[in-house]
Amino acid sequence: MLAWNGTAWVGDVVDGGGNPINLAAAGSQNLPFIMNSEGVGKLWGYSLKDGPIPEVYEPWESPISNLMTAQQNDPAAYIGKLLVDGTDWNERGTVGDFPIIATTYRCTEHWQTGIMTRNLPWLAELMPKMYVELGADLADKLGIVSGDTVKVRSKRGEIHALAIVTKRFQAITVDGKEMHQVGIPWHWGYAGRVKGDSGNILTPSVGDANTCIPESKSFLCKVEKA
Amino acid sequence: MKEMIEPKAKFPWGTLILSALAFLCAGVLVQRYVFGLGAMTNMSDGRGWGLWISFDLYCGVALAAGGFTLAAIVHIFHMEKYHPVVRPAILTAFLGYLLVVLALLVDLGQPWYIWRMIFNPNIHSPLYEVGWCVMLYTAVLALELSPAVFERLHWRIPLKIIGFIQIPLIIAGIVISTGHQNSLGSMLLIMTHSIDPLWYTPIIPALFFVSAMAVGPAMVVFEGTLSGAVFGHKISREVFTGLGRITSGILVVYLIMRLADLAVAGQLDMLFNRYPQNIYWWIEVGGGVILPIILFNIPKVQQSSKGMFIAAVLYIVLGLSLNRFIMSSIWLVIRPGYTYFPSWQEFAVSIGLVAWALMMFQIAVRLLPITKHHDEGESKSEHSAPEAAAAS
Amino acid sequence: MAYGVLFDGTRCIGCRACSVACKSWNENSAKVEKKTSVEGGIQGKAVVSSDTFTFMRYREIGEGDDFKWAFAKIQCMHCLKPGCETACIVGALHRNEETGAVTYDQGKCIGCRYCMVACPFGIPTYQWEDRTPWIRKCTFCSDRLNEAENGMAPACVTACPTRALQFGERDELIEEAHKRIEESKAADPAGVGKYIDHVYGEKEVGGTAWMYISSVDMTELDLPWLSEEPVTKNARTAMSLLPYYATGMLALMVGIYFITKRRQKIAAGKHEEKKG
Repeated sequence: MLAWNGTAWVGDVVDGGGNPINLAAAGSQNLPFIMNSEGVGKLWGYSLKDGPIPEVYEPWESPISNLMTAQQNDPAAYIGKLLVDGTDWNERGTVGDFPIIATTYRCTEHWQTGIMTRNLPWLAELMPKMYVELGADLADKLGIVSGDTVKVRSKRGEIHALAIVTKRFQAITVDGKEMHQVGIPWHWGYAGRVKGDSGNILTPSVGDANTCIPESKSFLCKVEKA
Repeated sequence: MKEMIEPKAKFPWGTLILSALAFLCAGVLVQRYVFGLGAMTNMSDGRGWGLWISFDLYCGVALAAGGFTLAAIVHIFHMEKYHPVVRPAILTAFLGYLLVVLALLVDLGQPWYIWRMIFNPNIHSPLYEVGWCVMLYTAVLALELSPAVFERLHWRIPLKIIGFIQIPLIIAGIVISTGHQNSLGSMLLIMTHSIDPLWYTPIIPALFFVSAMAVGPAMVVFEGTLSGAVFGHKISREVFTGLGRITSGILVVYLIMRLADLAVAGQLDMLFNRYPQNIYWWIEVGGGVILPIILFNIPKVQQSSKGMFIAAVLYIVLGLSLNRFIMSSIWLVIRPGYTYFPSWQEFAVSIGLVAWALMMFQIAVRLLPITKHHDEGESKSEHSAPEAAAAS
Repeated sequence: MAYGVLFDGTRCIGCRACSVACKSWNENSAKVEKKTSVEGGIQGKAVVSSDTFTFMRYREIGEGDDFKWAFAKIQCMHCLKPGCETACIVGALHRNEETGAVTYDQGKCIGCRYCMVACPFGIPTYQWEDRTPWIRKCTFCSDRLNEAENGMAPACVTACPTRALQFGERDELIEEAHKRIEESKAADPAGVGKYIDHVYGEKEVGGTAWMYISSVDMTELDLPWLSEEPVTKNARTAMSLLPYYATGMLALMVGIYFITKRRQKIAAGKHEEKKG
């Protein structure tokens, strides 16, 4: 960590040695952006797939049209293929078929796909079942109570999960329409001390233009009692 | 033999059913000891006490109070007219206490460690007092019953010895048994917030004491009527009516204590707005205390043995047993949200033990001079033995 | 010198490291319930049991801007005047005066389960499935408390990442708890602060070693509302009156015996006179 002591930056030593800002002092070769070949930052890098100015894009599966710009989605986004026996399962769902916004998230007891944590007895005991959290208003609408088994479907597939009704999800009004959101963890799988369906069965294979980090936190789904 | 009583029925249906129940109980006990309590009871962490504590311990000890009440009435208060019913009452009490001990050996998680109670005293625990006094009183009851055995065996010397110590024994028995009637109530004093406020009060021991005293005569009416029907042995109408009056008198005191206690605590309104607990209260006190008081004092009922029986049963079942059940199980909420209803195995054990006791009662009445003393002369000499000893 | 633990609900994040640490230290086995509890949402475990000495309770309290997701750690409260200690017929449950821990001695237990019924928090659990069942509950890590001077604390306290659990002398913790409440009030322009102004366990049932402060009332987290009177008070009074009762009853019975016998003699004497 670096701190400004009034006259200079002091503190940590950057990789490669030398005071990173004190360029005049050395004519030195120790420049800060060590991951870039020039050693300095880039405003518009030629190796990047998209532009430097942040833009608001809707997720690949979105219930509304982009209210900020005319461009609905990131045009440079990576759209992958989920090929199973020659068929591409990575299809885009529409809000008509899949009216509920879904997000994936984590819980404390499990890590990533849970293949390690779901085999640890004390952690498996604390969080044994794949669950989906939904708001009380949505649960009332669908006639679901905590403890019911529900089916969550997206254009990519379907899973079964334990429904848990929570006040932490509330209906939101977007573009004049009432929207509901559900939360889906992705720590479960088909093997282990405790098993369950994986939340990633539902997520689209869409990624950031440069890093391909998947857009698993925002897609559309449908929830019904199993 | 003069003491043998002619059985009324030809085919022993009763004995058959009782034996079957006792055998079923034995089978269930095997399951209990081999597989543990969880395998055959519905008790759980939120309901640690079940049928065996509510019925066999709490009701069992209270209903066996007939022993000390009748012994007091006859031998201490010298009300001779109740003499014929003393021995059956003591026998019932003795068998009742045996049932309590046996049921505890089933209910305790590790009954093979029960001796630990002797070597690890916790004098602050009401249950410690109950445990010791149940042990001592069962021994006292056995001693009080021994004259019947000695008479049967014609053992003169042991009979004389018991005759000497009879009164001290009876007084000791009264002190010990009323003591643990109190302490059974004291046990519940720790559950200050878990027992529903309609029943929790600092004077629980006193209430248990009074209600136990009242149930003694009522139990005599109850079993007297039953054994009259089975054995043809009748108890005089005068005795019955007298017992009814004693019970009703004590019940009036009890009712006043209950109502005064609620009034002092400012909880009288709970009788009307604390739902659903108030329903239980009204069934217990309305049907089990107020109604018997009324019935025991109606001349028409006093003349009818059926009426007396019903009045007695109302108090025994609703006024006393329901009260003990409510306080030790139904409205004793250790953890909210847990429900409990006994499993069939728990019923089988309780019913089987009672069946066994009934059979023991039958056998004892046939073999021992319980319902008939040898003759009036003999019985007089029993009473004059301590006087003779005092005079000599 | 009695220890206590202060639970600060505003620091707790519901991570359950305490739960797992407890299992680890006590070598308790895991048991996946057949039906996952949905009480409290993703809480999972809803009760202490023979293998679970402690668990976190989650409650969603309030609406809108007042909404709080609150947590409470549930375990034996290690009362200063334990109901279980007075109840236990053989004295298997006993409060260690030095450490304040209420410990259980298997070598004395007979399985009467009076302690389970006597506890106002419903904590002691039983090994119902066992042929030789014992009572099980939080031990306050008594074996670790022997090294308290060297910095050892109960396993749960040591594991807590946010210092929501604080171990120390009970008196000092009470001071600390009130200090936090007052400081929070002082820092708040409205003068309310983020805590409910109550230290749960300071006075309840005569005081408990485990105490709670939080931004919500502890009864919202299903901790029972209890008065300040120890649960043992009435029972101990009743037991101390027992010798007087026995003596009085003895005297009464002896008195009545001689009085009624005399009356009987007089009546018999009169009868003889009449006859004669």
